[in-house]
Amino acid sequence: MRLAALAAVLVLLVAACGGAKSTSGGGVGGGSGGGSGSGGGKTVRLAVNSWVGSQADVAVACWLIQNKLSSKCDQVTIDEVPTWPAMGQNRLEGVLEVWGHEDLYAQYVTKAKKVVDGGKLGATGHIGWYVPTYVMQQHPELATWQGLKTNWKLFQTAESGGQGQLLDGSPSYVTEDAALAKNLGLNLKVIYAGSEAAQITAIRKAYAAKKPLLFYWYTPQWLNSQLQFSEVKLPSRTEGCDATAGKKPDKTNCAYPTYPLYKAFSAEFASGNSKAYQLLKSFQLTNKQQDDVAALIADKGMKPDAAAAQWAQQNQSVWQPWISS
Amino acid sequence: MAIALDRLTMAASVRAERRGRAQRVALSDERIRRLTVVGAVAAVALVVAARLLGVGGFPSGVSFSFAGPVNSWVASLQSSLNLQAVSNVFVRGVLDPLLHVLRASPWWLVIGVAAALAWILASWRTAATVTAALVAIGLLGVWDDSLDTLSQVIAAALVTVVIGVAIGILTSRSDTLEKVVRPVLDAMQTMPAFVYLIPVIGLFGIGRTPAAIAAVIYALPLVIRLTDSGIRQVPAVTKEAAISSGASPRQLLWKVELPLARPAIMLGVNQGIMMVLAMVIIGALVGGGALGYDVLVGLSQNQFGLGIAAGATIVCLGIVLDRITQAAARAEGRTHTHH
Repeated sequence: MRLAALAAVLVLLVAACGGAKSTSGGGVGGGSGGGSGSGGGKTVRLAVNSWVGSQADVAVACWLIQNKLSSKCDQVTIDEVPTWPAMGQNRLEGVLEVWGHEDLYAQYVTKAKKVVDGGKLGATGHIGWYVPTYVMQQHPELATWQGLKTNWKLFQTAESGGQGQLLDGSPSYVTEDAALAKNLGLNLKVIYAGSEAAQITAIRKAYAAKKPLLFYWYTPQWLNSQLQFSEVKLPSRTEGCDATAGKKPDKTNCAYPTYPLYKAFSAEFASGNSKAYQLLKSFQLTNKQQDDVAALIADKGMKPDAAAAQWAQQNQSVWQPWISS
Repeated sequence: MAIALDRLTMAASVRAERRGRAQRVALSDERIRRLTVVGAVAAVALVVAARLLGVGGFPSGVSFSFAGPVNSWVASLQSSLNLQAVSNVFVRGVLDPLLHVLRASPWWLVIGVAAALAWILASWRTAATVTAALVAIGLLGVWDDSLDTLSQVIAAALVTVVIGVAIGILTSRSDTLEKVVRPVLDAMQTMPAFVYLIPVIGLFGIGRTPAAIAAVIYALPLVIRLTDSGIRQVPAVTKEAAISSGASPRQLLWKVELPLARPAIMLGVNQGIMMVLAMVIIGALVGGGALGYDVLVGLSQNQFGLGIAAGATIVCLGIVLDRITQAAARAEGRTHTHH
């Protein structure tokens, strides 16, 4: 009896495995799915990077491609750096939100010409130090970094000991905060939350209790459409004040640069000049528009496609020009 | 899933034991063969039918969404229960003093103490290994971060061992309790830590406390299981002899069961510490900082060198902790047999 059951289990497994269909669909490595590879095909594969904003861009673009151009669109989850070789090998048609990455740009666009510059996304990336707006209202002197000289005690925690706490988040983003605090002579200790999710939880906790919190933060970011933050302005940028002018990163003493976010496409997809390419070339979102879509996904828990559909239906005037052009 | 796999492997081993003990009423070969064929045909037919009808996978109408109720429950828990004060006591009273002692000591003193420990407990060879590993850490340029990680590992390992051995003793007393605890241990060992860590931050705040909690949750089951099985494997004859010679339950535990279970418990301690160390990366995702954060930065910013240095340092720390605890276990074993 038991042997029979065991045999049945085995047969079931074999039958199920043998009959299982390949599910590698939109996978970058797979390639056996619906993807046709070259520009002649219909499926557009777009890179979704780890942050919700990237997900929002691609969800809107894919919704438009599927519903207004009746083409196929795959959303491929992939890290920032591998996105570039994937475009170079025609395994991805494009990426809609690139932050910096000058080295990869030089390698794939300028040198190898396998990838083309897709123009500006419209949103501008900005990194800085922020406090919840209720803190700024009580301490208006925090509008600039000088206000932190006397107010560091506000931000003291068990983790920061005898200093004020400056909460950093995702290790994916460049931070010079430890050097900045030192070079500006501020009594602040950088505490690394280690992930965006952990940092957001800490921000929400402080916000709910109306407690002071100083943190490294950025825009576009969906949380900005839910909670009110104010920026603590760092010293304005001057020639050679940070690593962009060859200065050692640990000597940085000015604000972070702003990043005009841009799109990039595989050269083959661009030369095909399909309708999908024309749409993506014109595709632009402002920080606010992207935050709105991203908040539907991250905060309201909607599926990306549903969030994109809802936003697109309410903002027809925004995307109509991309399609008729 | 883990619970199912755990039960399957346990059931298989229990069955193997039983088979050895009792003669089973054998089914005739003919019947077995017939049943096998029928079962196989039925299974193939079912799979083919399912495929034709397109009903693979679990029926989607039956599954339901956890997310809503769980989120609201966690939110209410976070607003009603604030354990930030507990976290602050742990940071100010345990972690910071420990780190302060380590950081205030010159590097050669730290290495010297570790090497001396290894020498006393084991041999000059172990001492040499420990010294080499610690010097390597210094040369890799992450000395300060290593001491930070080390202080966190020591604190979390202490908590793990104390709680783990205590619970292990309790479950070894009662089969019912052991059965109740087992699925909880399964969950602790396999639930991806990040899933429960985000709510933990809501309760304890960000920093080294949630990192330590992650490590304790991950390492605890092994310590409990090894303690439990170590005590259960003490021969019944030995226990009966102790009881008949008038030992109280307390004496039975301290004089008979724990000493005889010592090898298993010390293995639990040794492995528990290694598992705590393995969790520093996950801990860094919730504010643990130190070496774990260096690895994360190395991974996410393509700084391979930093990632490798931090990774190699974690290995070196592992070697140091492993050698010293193993040596301690063996040394205790020796003194015990001398009595």
